[in-house]
Amino acid sequence: MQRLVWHVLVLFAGLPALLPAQGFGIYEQGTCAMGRAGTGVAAPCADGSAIFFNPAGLAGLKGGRATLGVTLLDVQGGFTDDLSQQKTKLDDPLLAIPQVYVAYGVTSKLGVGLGLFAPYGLQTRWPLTFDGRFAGYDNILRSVYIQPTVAYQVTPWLSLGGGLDIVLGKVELNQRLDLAAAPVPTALVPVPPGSPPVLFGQFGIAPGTDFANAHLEATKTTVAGHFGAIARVTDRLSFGARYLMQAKFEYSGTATFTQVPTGLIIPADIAVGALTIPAGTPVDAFLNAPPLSLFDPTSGVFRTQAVTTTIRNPAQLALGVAYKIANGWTVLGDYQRTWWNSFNELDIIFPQDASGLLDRKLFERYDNTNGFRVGAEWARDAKWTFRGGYLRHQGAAPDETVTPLLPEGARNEVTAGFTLKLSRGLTADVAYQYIRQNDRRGRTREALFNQVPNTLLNHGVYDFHAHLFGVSLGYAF
Amino acid sequence: MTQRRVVFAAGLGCALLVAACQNDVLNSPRVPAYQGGTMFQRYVAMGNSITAGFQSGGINDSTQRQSYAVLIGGVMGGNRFYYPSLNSFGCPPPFTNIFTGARVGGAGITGTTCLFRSPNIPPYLSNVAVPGAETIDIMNNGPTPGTHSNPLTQLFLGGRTQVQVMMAAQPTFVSAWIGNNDLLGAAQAGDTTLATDTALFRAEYAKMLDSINATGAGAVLIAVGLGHLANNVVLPFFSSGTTWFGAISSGAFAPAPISVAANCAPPRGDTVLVSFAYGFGLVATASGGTPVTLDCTAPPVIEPAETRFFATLQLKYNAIIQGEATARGFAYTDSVNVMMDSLAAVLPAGSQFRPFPNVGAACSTFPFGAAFSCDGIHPSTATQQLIARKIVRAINAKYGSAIPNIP
Repeated sequence: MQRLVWHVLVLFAGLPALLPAQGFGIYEQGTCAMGRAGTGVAAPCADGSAIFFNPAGLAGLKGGRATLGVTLLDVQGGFTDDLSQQKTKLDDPLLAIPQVYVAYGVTSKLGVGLGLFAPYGLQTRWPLTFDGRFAGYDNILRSVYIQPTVAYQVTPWLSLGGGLDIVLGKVELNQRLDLAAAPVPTALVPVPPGSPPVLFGQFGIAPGTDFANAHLEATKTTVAGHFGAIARVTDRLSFGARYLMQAKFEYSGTATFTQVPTGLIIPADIAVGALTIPAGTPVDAFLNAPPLSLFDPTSGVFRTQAVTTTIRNPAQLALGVAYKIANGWTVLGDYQRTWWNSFNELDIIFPQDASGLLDRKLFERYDNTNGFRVGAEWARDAKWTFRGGYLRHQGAAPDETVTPLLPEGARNEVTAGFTLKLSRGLTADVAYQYIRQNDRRGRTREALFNQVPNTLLNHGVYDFHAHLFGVSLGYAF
Repeated sequence: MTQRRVVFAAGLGCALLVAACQNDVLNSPRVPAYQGGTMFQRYVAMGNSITAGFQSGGINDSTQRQSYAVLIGGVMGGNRFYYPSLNSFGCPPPFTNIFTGARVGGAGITGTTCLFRSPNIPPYLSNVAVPGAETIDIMNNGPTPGTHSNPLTQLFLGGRTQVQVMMAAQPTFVSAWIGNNDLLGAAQAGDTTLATDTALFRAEYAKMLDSINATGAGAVLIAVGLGHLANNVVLPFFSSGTTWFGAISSGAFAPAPISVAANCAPPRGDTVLVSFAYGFGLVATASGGTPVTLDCTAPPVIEPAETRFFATLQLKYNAIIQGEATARGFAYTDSVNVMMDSLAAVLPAGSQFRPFPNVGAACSTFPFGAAFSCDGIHPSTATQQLIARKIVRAINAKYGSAIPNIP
């Protein structure tokens, strides 16, 4: 039973939402911290979430804490095309992201804990009518961090902590292939050396003609580290810092393809190189018969085959300050730096495809980002504590890389929450967060032939906002 | 004190929330700014070779850009007007000399040369016209019996019909000029039975208009033909038997062994029409050393009764089109004046319309006259401009719009 529960938790922790933080980062890893805009590097919440917000926060813990929480994400957004002025809405369902933290103060100075959280991940789901389906219509990036953590109070004012992250990664990409953008094999229509191949679009196939569905799925487990420090300068003032290392995934998986009927018929005899396609030939039959035989299960370009890629979850550094004012008030401020430039190029390699036609190079070229968070907490009495906060951060995606896979941008967010002590050892946390992303110009397609994209490809505007609801139960033992 | 802090915090939160909502308006749809411009944000042209930009027996990117549809799309100023740009030298490349068969691109280029479309595939098509299309082809593709698909049908439409491609572009305004080939093909063959009968024409034309109506777009419908046969004006592609009689009798094609029958001489020769394709085909055969005779009773020659048939049919087609335009509230216009006298605006004066080609002349010297390209059927660049201007005037008159003039 315990094993089953563990599997369920891992599964759900891997169901990320669409980017509640910069890039594909997710910062809502605890309801208490969520209520104060994620601040807490200098003074983590006492619910065990210090395992994520600052491992050093476990030092000095009295007794044990176990917290089980969930964040519900209601994501809204879409893409409005410049020409048609039609908006396609994201098709993301209501998502639930649990967090689990168990922490225990072994001595007055030594604390240990185990956390399960997902600081990176995304899911973008678009309807199949969306032009972005050719970039990806159901894209999932999961990174579940399981972090055993230890912290020690080195001096009365300084605590240090660290954890080893065992990171379970999974990437899944579902996309349609557009016949208009597909190259005609050079064996059929030769081209001069160095020239790009002729496209089926040059034979009149209209853009947006689905002819295949691609499903790419790969997994990888890797390790990383997480370190933190808290300096309590006075009883009221403390500073904190934490650093989460980059996690590199060398994914290896499988690509499967299925033919999607175009329903098109060649209306007249037409010569394609040395081949004359007779009038009345169904395009689907032409694609799946010699000399192309694209979907032949043993020799076709689109046979089931291996696929590899490398993705790096970037390193992140957070610095914070917390100050207890008086009358139960505490104000907090955090700064976060995330090294998104590690998400630069995404090479999707099909090692068994000798033609090389399937290989893709996606130029992401993310920028490092800065985020600023301010929060406040008011412990009204022993039973009620109220929180609020605001945060703003930059977008990681440069202007030329705002795509259906990850149409993110700079955001402003406001939060509120409270803790209610239900009984001596049991507390409940509730938080709400509103995310408003600045509208951003973007594109729906990748550049042809693995070319470097530019902003001239942008042809519409992505909008995004979300409502997040967090609930958790904590138990002190 | 505490209350003031709460109020301050709440106020700050609201201010930040408002600031967060100040997103720029990043979409910028191109709505034409002139009077009535909203209707012309996305213009789609349907039709046949003239609309597609066919000239001098061929079509390439250069001739496509000279189509009246492209000219109108340019002054309408809405979303970009996309046409299915062909790779140089074309498909097939236009003639540089119709008498020698030389085409753009030089040696090795023939009437079957086709270099496909440009690799810059547009997101949608605004000019969906296909050379050779008849009314039935607007909603039907080959190999359905009765249709007239050709390789350009595939290259331009990719297995879809003109109506499907038109609807995919989500037009706000459509022009339709279809029906010329419904009688021209029959006239070229000198066979009235090949012409589309009016019942079929009416039905297919109405289906096309139903589709335009379904988009909610406005439209202009253009009358069949350049000038009206009933006014005794014909394309320079057709010449009288008398003209051919004179040319052959005078040895214009010597030393080719071609002769002409007496039935091509006046007065009968004045009443029959010989197509350039038929007459020059005989010349070409003779040039190969085979003796031939032009007989003005041969089936390809258009007899007076057949001319009357085609003239009447043209009037019937146009009555149908005009009636539909009136019933549906669309604009209607002729392409040029019914007497083709508006072509006098084509410069240089006096060279607009040559009744018989200047045999052997290169296309650059306009053997069929400056108003026509080097095949005697399709309008020249100058005439395409006249057509565009006339259509714009008709649209503005019907819809009260102020589409700028064609330069």
